[in-house]
Amino acid sequence: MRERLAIVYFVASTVLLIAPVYTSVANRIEPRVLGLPFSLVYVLAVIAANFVALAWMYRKGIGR
Amino acid sequence: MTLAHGVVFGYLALVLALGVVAGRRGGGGVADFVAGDRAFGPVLMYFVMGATIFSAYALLGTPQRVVSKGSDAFYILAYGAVGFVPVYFFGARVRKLGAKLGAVTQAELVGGRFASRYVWGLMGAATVLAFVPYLVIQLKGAGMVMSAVTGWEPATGAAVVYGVVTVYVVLGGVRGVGWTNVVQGIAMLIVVWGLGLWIPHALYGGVSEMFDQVVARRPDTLVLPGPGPTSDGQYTAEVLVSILGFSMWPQVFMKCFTARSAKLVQLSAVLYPTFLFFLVPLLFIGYAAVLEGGPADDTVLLWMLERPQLGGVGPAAFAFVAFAILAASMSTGDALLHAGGSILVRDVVVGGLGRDLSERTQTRAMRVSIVVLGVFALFVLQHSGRVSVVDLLLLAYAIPIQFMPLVLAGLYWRRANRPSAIAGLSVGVGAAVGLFVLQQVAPETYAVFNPWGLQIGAIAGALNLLTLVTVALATPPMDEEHLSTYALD
Repeated sequence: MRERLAIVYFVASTVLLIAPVYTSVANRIEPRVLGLPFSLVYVLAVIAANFVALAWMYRKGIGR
Repeated sequence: MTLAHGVVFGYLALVLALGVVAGRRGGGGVADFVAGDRAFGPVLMYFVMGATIFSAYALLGTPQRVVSKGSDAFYILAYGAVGFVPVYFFGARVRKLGAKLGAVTQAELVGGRFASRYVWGLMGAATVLAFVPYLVIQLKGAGMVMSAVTGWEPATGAAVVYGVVTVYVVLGGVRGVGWTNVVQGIAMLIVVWGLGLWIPHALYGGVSEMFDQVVARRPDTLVLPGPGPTSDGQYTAEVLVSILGFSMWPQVFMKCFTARSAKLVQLSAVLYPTFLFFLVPLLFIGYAAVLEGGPADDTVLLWMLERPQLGGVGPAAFAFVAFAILAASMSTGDALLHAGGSILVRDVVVGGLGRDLSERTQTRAMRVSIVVLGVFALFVLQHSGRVSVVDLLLLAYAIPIQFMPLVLAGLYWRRANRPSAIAGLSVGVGAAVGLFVLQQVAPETYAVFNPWGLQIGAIAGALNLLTLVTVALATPPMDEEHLSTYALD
């Protein structure tokens, strides 16, 4: 069950990175974070979120 | 002798020594040469996974892509964000099954699951085919750097660098690859981050200030479609197709077998994004090149270092960039050579052709294959005027996608059986090669078959999956005992 939820999460995170979501929500310069354009910050944020998700799954032993 | 000579040749001597020492450890059998006796710890696993993936192409190609296509270059980060996640899910199972069944390659595991020498051999042969152009671009990167440092012909430089690689791979096996990857990975991370922060600082007063200027002067490079231009659909296709094949590259996949434990494979998947962040400074360098009007080809990284505004620090920076590019080229090239030689013997000769070779003979044959593969790649590099390596790469990237349906169905779907795997793989590899050849020799006919210009790998992969599922549902599953061996009960 928890494994299924994890898969749903990663499919959703993929959707965040492609059209139409990425291209309509994130394909902009403002707001800039630490000077970086939003189009880049957004992708970095998804990577960070996936890292946290994977680390949490690892601690909980999901997928073993 | 300049600083660059010292750094480059010192580094080559160091990795050579590491390879020799690595070769003196371990049991010396096939499981040792190919999978390091399944004993790699966390540090080795981290760098093996990360450094293998980051090639000379990533280092030279990322800033180049920013210059030529703007924010389209972010697709590399986008697919990396999820591309390696499948390893978290299947990696632990692959590690356990490998130890239980004695498998050391991807094709061996899949061929065993489907009880098919044909699948085993065809996956091996397709892999070697995909490796050649990938290896050639690593050699090209190494040759370019050596030419810049020493003034030698690029082919000579590539031969010297890959002579060193071949020695440490032949002697050290996967342990040689792993140990040197630690050095290469650390070198890449330090140099790339150092440079990526220093260049914007030296030229514009900081990363934020640099982006202020990009926003003012070239805002088109910060959003799609960019100067390429890249349409939304193209961008999406780039990301999705890259995700599909990413975790299936055999030289990365087979590293699951090298881990000390199943849990450790998952840990390397968890930590992988930290390696991904190393692309960020390369994007910064790319944007600096946009402002400076740098060339939109793979020389742009070295071109940036020659900017007069960077003052007298140029030669030192140059030495360390040369070092980092060599490290990136070698950490990918060594894995390709090692995996290619191992796969040629283990999958094509032993698996596919059914030759019953002793462990010692196999290891010896792998060493010979590694040398042959290295020489062949050099030969292709020298004749790459006539053979377009970039074209061949299109085919190379289509191959691992064909392994995805078999790996996933094999690990998770009880109904998947021998005929379905044989049919799916044949259709997938056949369609990929067929479409590629058609595209090269008869572009007009190709356009009729592929009116929307979809990626070859995606079309072939869809046909592969469809065939596999249809045949599996139409034929009986494999027997219970066999399925339980693969933990499918």
